[in-house]
Amino acid sequence: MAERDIALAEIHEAMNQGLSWVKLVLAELISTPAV
Amino acid sequence: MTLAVIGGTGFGAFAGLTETKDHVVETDFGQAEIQSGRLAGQGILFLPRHGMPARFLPHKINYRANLKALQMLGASQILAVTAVGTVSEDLSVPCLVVPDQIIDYTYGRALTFFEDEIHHIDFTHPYDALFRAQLLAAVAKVAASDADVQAVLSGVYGCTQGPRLETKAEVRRLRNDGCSIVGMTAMPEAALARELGLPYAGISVTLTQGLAWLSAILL
Repeated sequence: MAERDIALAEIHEAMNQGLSWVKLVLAELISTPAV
Repeated sequence: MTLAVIGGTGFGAFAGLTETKDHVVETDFGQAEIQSGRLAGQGILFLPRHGMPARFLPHKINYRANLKALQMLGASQILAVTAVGTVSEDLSVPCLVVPDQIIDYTYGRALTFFEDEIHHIDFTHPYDALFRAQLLAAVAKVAASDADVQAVLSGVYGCTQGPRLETKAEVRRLRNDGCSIVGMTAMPEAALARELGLPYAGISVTLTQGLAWLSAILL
């Protein structure tokens, strides 16, 4: 169970980090005139 | 131009969107839930593909209704966000991957709008070249401005049926087939967008180093 908790925590951390990057990309994308 | 964002696992709500309005859109293929709003002054559409709240497994998502509803609300480009596992050992976690190819391992999904006529789309390049180039430029700019951002500008998305995770042998096959990432939702979504003539590009977030590894730890 402890291993599972650690793995889930790591996945959530990766997800939050990754999605914060996606939002930066999105902000950049919509700031370009072509979109 | 109206950008539509399809959110995947972990991206079921869009914080930062203002002037939001919820839409339940009826299409010939069923119902879709879409949120419209503004981001940095621009109108965008947001569709959480697993539902709002999340309740649809990948093989239960009504991809046809989702894509048709986005078209009906005036989407002119679709950015598909997906959570994936890595197949390539070179990819870090987390990492943004902008795939350029797809291998479809799904089955039994409603995969076309053309049920009663013979119609074959060109799917040589599953992602729209022009929109993908714009996306790559945005990713490159973000990565250049923040050294922490990990990004890979190409990749092969292996789309599995799910909802279960892959066996070790299946991950080995994905690797042998040339897949670099594995997820469950790019198909038939990408093909349906092409059928509707909607420019579609994808950005994936790696969450685990191989789903078989994840399965071994979690199950």
